[in-house]
Amino acid sequence: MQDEAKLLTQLKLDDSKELAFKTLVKRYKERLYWHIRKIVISHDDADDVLQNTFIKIFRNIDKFKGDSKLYTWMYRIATNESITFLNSKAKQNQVSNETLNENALQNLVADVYFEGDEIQLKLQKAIAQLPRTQQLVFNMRYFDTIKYKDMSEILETSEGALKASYHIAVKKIKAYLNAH
Amino acid sequence: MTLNKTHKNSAFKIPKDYFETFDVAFFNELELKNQVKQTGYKTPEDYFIEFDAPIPKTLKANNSRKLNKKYSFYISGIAATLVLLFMFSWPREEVQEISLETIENYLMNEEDQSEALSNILTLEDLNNLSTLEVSYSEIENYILQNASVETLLID
Repeated sequence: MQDEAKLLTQLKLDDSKELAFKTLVKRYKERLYWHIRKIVISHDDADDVLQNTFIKIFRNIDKFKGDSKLYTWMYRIATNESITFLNSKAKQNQVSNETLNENALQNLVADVYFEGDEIQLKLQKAIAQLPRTQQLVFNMRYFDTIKYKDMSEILETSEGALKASYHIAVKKIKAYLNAH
Repeated sequence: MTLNKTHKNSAFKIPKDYFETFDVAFFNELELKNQVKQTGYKTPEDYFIEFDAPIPKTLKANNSRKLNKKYSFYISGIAATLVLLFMFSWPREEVQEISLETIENYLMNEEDQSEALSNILTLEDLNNLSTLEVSYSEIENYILQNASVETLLID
């Protein structure tokens, strides 16, 4: 925590900004990547969004007031960047977000960067059936075990609502897996 | 004293139906995790070792070009003085804005411009004149050097 505060101070000073930013990238790239990857699905898209996320973090670090944890603030940026990316990709391809998602899942079977077995593929399909917020909540809780308190900062939603979302998502996914 | 009574007397509260729904939610998750725990996604080899987020160049440039506050004060002062001098000494004539279309028409329609055009355009450009794209700055430069403002204002 103290280390994070120190890093934040360095990020706001012109002399130490670049070096501190490199430390920040080194420390958070994996966590942010996996968070983004679960939203956008393909590796190439995740790579693009991760780059954009870090650029945005770098540009806006001076505006970060410390009202939340640094990592939840970065997760929020990564989430927004991923959603914006998907929306503009859907618009560009002139398809709905649902169709875009379906296409991404179809491509997953042949994706060299997916080594999941049948049940993992089914799980991804089950997640794709959920509304966007439930998808986010499920991914963050199920795979990354992010605390509801932190998730509440990232998604700007109450903890109670997030817990309810998660339990509903688990139930739906279980039902999907049983039915397919 | 039973365990329930102990808690009933404490000041702690729980959400409504917490215990009724807890085991359902807990076992649902547990059952799912027994079936599948991982996403199945992977990355190219050494992706995280090689990944390096670019630092935006504009910010880099801004950082290196920071002026000393004292100097920036003097420079701002000189600039303000020059602007004021310029404003008061410049003849007050009404300036009409020339549209890009007017300039293009002038260049395309004036009979004696063909030679001038050939100086700034290549043979290939001249052959493709209908689809040619000439930048605003190129047109501006040409007019500054070759045309009289009066002619353009009349047009």
